[in-house]
Amino acid sequence: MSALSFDEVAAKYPQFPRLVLLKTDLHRRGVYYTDKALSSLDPDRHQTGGTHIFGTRDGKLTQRPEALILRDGASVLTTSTPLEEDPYIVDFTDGRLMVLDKGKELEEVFFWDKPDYYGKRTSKGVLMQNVIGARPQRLYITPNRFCFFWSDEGGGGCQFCDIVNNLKQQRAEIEMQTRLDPQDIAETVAEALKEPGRFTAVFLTSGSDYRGKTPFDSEIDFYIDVLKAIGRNFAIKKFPSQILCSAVRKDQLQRLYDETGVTSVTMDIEVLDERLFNIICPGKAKWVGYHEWKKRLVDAVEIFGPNRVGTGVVAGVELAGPFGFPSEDEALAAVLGEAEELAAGGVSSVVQVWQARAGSKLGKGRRKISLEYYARLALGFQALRRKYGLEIDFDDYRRCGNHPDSDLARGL
Amino acid sequence: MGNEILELLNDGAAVKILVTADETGAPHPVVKDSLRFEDGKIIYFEFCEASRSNRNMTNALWFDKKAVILLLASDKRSFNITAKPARCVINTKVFQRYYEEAREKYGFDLSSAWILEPLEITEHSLGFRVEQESRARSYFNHLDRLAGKEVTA
Repeated sequence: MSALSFDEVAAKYPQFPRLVLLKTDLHRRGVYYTDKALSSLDPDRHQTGGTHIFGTRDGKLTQRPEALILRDGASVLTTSTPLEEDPYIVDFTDGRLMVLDKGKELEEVFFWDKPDYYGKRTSKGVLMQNVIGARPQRLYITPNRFCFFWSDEGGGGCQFCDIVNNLKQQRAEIEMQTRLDPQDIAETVAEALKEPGRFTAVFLTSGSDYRGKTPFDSEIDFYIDVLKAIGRNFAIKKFPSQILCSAVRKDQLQRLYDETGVTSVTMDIEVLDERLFNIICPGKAKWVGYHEWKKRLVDAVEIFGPNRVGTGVVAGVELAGPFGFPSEDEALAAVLGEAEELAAGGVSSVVQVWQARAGSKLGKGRRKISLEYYARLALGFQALRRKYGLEIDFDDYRRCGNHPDSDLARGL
Repeated sequence: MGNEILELLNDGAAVKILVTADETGAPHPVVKDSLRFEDGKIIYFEFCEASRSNRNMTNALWFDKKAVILLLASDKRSFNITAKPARCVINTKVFQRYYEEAREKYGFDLSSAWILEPLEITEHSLGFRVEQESRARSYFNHLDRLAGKEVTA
């Protein structure tokens, strides 16, 4: 049975806003920018990509828009996608930037302005945009871009991830650093805060670092150094922030919470099924394990409080390869079941639509996941938040913008 | 469309009420002093991200629904302005301009600037409506008001 078209999914799920459905499908299918669209991009004004922790579908770091803005204010992170993969088209016609599909105009979109600190350098001469990337409302900081799961003792990187291959390319092409100096981060935050009304949250994520006297001590120690440096810029101790880290122990989380200004934590479990977790995320399986990961998420609620703990899934990988669930119905039931268990413990799950990247193991020959699957999953995750009274302010359409289910939290 | 009436939104002495509806259709009216008419569009400031009107307006944009603005002008004329949300501005330099204005004028943080497209304007000033109905629907008049010179036998 062939998958439903966009209009068929929209008709079948009228409670799912078409604009959010389009955003979901832009993530699923990717976008291709025409030459006219790229010509309308003003590098002096608009933000272009290349500094993100993950790469693109076509493997190129050329100056293309990092993202688009929709008329409801939501942003859509875009990965430039080759035409043969049937992406949406972004073109510039009659003075407007438009999303098209099969020649039909669907929606007007907008580029977003780069922040004022882009192009400036720290006192050590480091380009500030390579220290902190920007989402429309979020300061995106990657203190360490190397994931140690990819090293000899690591157990293996996640199969959907291209973090290390992307880093190699970024180092070669745009002077990206592997590991940041907290002083550079502090200076860049200070510069960013000079722009009124621009940012509402600080976000940190890195490749996993299991090294240390006990596993992940090195990761936590570095995050604490970085967060303390950031905190020097604020008049209050706790500032709106989110850290996306490995599933560390409760005592490590307690240190992180007590010694810094961080206010929420996300520990991405990536796939909500133990068997697939072990296959797709071998490094996470080796150093933490599936059940221990879930336990640590619930433990985090005791420290950070309700409405401040989350976990992300790379939605769609559970259907990938020869090892994935045989049907979308089975996958959905399994994933929602696990997500409900976490929600009952105060943990919010969020959807990140899987976007196969050129530098990842699963990047080639992947199975097409239907739009309907993502719609059902997003509705399911938001329904769980409503059922268990969970807010998702720290990872919503403004603080992140990369999760169709948390976009739904605006209205549903 | 009725620009001279829409311009009344820019009168600081006018009372402006925004009415949105939730998913059940229940109306939610709130005073929105920030409502204004600018460059052919209606704009207002939303200070609270989690407010009912912000949620309702988001749903109105998503599901192509409308909102109504009740305008009581300083000369006591009143109008209903039906509008639909065209855009929610939360970022870019346009938002920064609104943010700085909101901080200076109201002293609060700004969540969003909503841009509405006016669709229809109807006057609801009491005298205007009564007169209009009296002429158009003559059966609704009381006869004693229409009585002429007394006829005597």
